[in-house]
Amino acid sequence: MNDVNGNGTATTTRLGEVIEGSTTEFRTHCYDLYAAPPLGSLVRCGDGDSAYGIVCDVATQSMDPSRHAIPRGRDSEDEEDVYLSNPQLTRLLYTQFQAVIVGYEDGPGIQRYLPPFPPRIHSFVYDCSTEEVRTFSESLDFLPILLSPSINAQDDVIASFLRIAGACHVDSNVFLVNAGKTLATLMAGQLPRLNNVLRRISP
Amino acid sequence: MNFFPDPTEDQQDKRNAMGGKGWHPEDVTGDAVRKPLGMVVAGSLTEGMEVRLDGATSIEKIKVGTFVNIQGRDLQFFGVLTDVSLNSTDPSLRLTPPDVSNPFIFDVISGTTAYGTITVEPMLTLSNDPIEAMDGALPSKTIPPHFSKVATASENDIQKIFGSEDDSHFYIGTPLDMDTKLCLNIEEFVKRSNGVFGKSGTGKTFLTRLLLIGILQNGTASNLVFDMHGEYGWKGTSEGSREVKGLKQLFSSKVAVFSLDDESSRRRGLTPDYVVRIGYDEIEPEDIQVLRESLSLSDVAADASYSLKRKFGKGWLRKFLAYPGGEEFGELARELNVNDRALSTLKNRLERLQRFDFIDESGGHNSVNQILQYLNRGMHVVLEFGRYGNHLEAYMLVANLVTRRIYDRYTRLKEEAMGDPSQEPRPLVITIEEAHKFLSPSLADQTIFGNIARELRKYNVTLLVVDQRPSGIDDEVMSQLGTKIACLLDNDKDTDAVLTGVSGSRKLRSVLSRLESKQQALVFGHAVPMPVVIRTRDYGTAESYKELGFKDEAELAIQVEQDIEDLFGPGS
Amino acid sequence: MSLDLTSTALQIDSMAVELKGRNNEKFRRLQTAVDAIGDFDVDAYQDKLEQSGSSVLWNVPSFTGDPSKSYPPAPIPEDFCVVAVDGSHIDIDRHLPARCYLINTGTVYLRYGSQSDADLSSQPRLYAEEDELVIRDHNAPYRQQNIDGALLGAKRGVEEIKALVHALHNTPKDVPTVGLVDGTLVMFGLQQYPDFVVRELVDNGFVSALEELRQMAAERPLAVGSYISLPRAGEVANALRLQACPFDVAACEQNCGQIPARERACDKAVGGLIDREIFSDFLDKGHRSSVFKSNHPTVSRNYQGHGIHFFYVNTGEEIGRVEVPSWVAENEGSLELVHALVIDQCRRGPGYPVALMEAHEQAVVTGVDRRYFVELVEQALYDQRLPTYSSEKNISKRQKWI
Ligand SMILES: Nc1ncnc2c1ncn2[C@@H]1O[C@H](COP(=O)(O)OP(=O)(O)OP(=O)(O)O)[C@@H](O)[C@H]1O
Ligand SMILES: [Mg+2]
Repeated sequence: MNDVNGNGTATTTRLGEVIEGSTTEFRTHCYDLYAAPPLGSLVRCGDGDSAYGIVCDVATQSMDPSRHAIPRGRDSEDEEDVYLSNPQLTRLLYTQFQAVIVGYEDGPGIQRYLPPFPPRIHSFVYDCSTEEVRTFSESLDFLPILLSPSINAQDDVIASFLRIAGACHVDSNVFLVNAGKTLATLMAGQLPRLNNVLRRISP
Repeated sequence: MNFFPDPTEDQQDKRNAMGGKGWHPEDVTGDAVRKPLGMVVAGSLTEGMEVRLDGATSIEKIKVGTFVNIQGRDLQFFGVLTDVSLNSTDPSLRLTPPDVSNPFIFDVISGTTAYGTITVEPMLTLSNDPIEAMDGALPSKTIPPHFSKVATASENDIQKIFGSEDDSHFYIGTPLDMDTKLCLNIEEFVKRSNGVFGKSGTGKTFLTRLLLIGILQNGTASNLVFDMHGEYGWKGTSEGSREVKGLKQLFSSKVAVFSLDDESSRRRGLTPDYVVRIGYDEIEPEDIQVLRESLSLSDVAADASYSLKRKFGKGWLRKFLAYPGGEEFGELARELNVNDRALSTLKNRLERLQRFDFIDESGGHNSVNQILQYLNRGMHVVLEFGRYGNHLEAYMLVANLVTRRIYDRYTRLKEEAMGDPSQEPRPLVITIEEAHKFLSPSLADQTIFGNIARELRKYNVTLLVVDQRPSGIDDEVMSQLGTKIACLLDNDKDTDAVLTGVSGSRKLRSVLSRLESKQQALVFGHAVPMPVVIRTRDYGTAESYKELGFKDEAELAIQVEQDIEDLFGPGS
Repeated sequence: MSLDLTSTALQIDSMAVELKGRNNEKFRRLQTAVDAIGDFDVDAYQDKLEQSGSSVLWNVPSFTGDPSKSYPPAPIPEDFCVVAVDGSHIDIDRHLPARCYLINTGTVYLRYGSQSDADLSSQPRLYAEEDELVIRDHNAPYRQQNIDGALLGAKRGVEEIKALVHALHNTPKDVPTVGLVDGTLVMFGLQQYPDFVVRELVDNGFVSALEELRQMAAERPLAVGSYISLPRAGEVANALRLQACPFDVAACEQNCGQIPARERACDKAVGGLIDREIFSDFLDKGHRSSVFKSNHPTVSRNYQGHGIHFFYVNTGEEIGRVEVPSWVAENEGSLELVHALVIDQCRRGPGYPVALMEAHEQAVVTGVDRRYFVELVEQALYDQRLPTYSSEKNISKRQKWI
């Protein structure tokens, strides 16, 4: 149901709403349990003056922080059955994701740095179509943002994003090599780390 | 990332004004585009510019000797790529190399974490200001600033610097990896003595042939070629014993072939314009001096020839060779005050000359005069040695003798002209192979060739020395050579000899020692504004002859008809 | 200085010793009770109950079958729904500058089977208007009763069952459904209030909702009930008192009025026992007891023919009490459905019906919520330029001084 970036579709899906936002990142509460876009996906929030974010953390948790899940499947045949025989679970748990802001729509153009204002709470969050991902990733000026230490597992986020974006470009190999080269410059002096990321995006 | 105002804005305006199509930065250099290499990151005038290669540039495609353009703020620099090296931004690269077995990672790392640098020796500058640029390129007295863009020079750059093909600019070859014609200023060329160097088989003869044609076509000078191996006048050979045309075949009306060996010439299908004969009486002690080495004569023995000349006068050699042996010979030695043994060695060795059929007893041969007459008529003379080409002493003897006589004549003519250029003899370029035999340090100050090389420019005679062992040539002579064209050389001594006295020689060395083993050469000196590596123009194909202005018989026939038609109207 | 734990601990120790003694005695009585249930003469009991009439001081139920019997649950349907409601409230706070109370009802809809689904929601409602803060006598409008304390609890019970009605309207009509509320279906504790109050809350409130449910149940496979965890009720134990009563007619006041508590015959036999203690001996896991009918005076007087029946179930974790309206109890299918689904809910719970637990979670108003509520009220008043005085005591409760 959610249209994963890069699978060649042109439509966008509304994923959820912003429940927390700053000029550097925003948190989206998904409409459906487990309906978050994959790590590294490009998402857009807001209609007009949209901010673009890259999913850097996805979590499913209890709506009520004081309640935590307990095992329920001892007598179930499969995991699906756990949910079928405990239908309330889909309402007690929710999926949310955090996206680092990597740019915003500035009139007709796209800026690939932080927006002047954070997204509004309850802004709708969409996943980006292949076309949008391609357009956005035409320049990789925003990559330094993804390298900021405030993001957990930055390297995985970067690698996932590049893989997704690569699939949106006609010549994904050329895209990935250029992206890799940009990374190599940004990660100068961190060869093992660079190598790790490259291995992950290697076609 | 354009820090600098674009120097070509004017050009752009012009194009636009002319209603030209959209302007692209690459367009500015003409049809051929400068291929970007990288940007300047460090450097000095003495060490050359360090240029970091763009990721996109494959280091394996880089060649030393490449002609390079550097776009400075106010100046464009032109230089030669002299070194290539590998670098990395990460010292840990050596210890923990990345996964380069993965082709993707290899692609990414190369040019970024691991990158190439090249060193460029800036040689010339050209102002970006169109008015100042009219002064032409000047030797570099400064270097381009940081981050200047570096690219391979374009066709337009080549033409701007080396001139385009015309009467005075002879197309000699193409720069590395380019199809652009690179030209030699042939008028500058003939003003001085020049050298073509390179180990055996590198293309000296082919190059020389082209130079001779250049001189011929330009017409300011005449050629006299001592064609040791019969390669210039009539049918040279190319590798695989394929025949290539000689000068006479291409420009029969302008070239005369003289032969020492009528028989062999005829065998090769040539009727020589003149068969050269030398009389004993024409041989002078200086000629013997030159042969010292090839005849293995001691200094004493060689010097004895002067005493003999003094004693016997004009027919000294003939008389000496006929001189009886025994007691009388000892007498002669004592009279001349030379060692008995030395004198008899001299006699023995000189007797070898008797094997050469072109030498005879009769005096009054006219060979040298004939040559001079041809030269005076504006002809170019190739002297073929035929089978004597294998005898160094024959070659040296004749070359020396002829040149000496011509020297005499030219000095006289020049003095008679008394500064009136119209009366001066036509400049003459004398081509000799195995030049180091004539110009070795021990001979250079004694032989006529040494004289010419050092000073005879003022008598309108210059040398074109062709040699595979330049280290054997006297330093002073080498330094007098105006333009040097060096193919790949065998050893360091030769390389050093060729490059002495050239600025940036240390860096050019690496260029020179990495030339391909055939048909590539480093050209530097007066006839080119800056050192440049060329791939020598092809010679030997029908097409090459055509480009050089040769028309084959069928074509000639058509040409004749056309001329007739032009003269008398169609159908006549 | 806080609690003196040392001296408290000593007292706790002696309490434990005493409890142990009491427990031994109680165990003996429990044995008696179990034996008594074992050969309970239902007919004799009912006779005695009828003869004694209102002279029995104990709240005793009517029996509908052998009390020692236990019934296994019926198999659960393939597709079914459980709808549960629960509520909580914020009482009127006299420290607050505005008089108002809040009732939050939580509703849970769970559908099981092929089209498994769930809906969890809560509906807070603030009551602040004059009309809403009191119950008025329509006949004599000057008579009015403030809604707070126990009355607010009753009001909440009414809102809960209304929420259940509302929720059931929005659930599939063709799937077997059980509607559950938390706690008892008997609106007791209202005896001391004037009639117009009882009429308003019970007749017009709770019972009219029950009636609506009855009508819905007539048209669709629907049953309703309430679940009480850890029930303190002793109605069946009271029935054993009646049986242990040595008098022909159990006229308590008359017969034993002078005898101190614990000394009466019935006290000695089964005193101090509660129902779940007795049934824990009879009920296997999942089983229910037979059904009893409540004779609570409020039910008989105000429930307009809706009887309230109850039975006990062994959920596996505890003995729970289920109350159902008579129209459920008297329909075997409905009764079985309630039994089976309550057991199933407790299994999924585990130990307590899932739907009720989630309804509670939806309804619950935490301490944080309460404080936030107070702030909101103060802010709203402030925004309207109304005085926001709140008593010093309240302030000191919220701020911790050193
Ligand atoms: N400009 C050229 N065009 C075509 N072929 C060439 C050219 N230059 C060199 N070659 C090839 O290289 C071969 C060697 O060239 P060349 O005979 O001129 O060498 P060299 O230096 O004169 O050798 P050596 O010292 O033995 O006389 C030629 O036979 C020819 O095949
Ligand atoms: Mg040769």
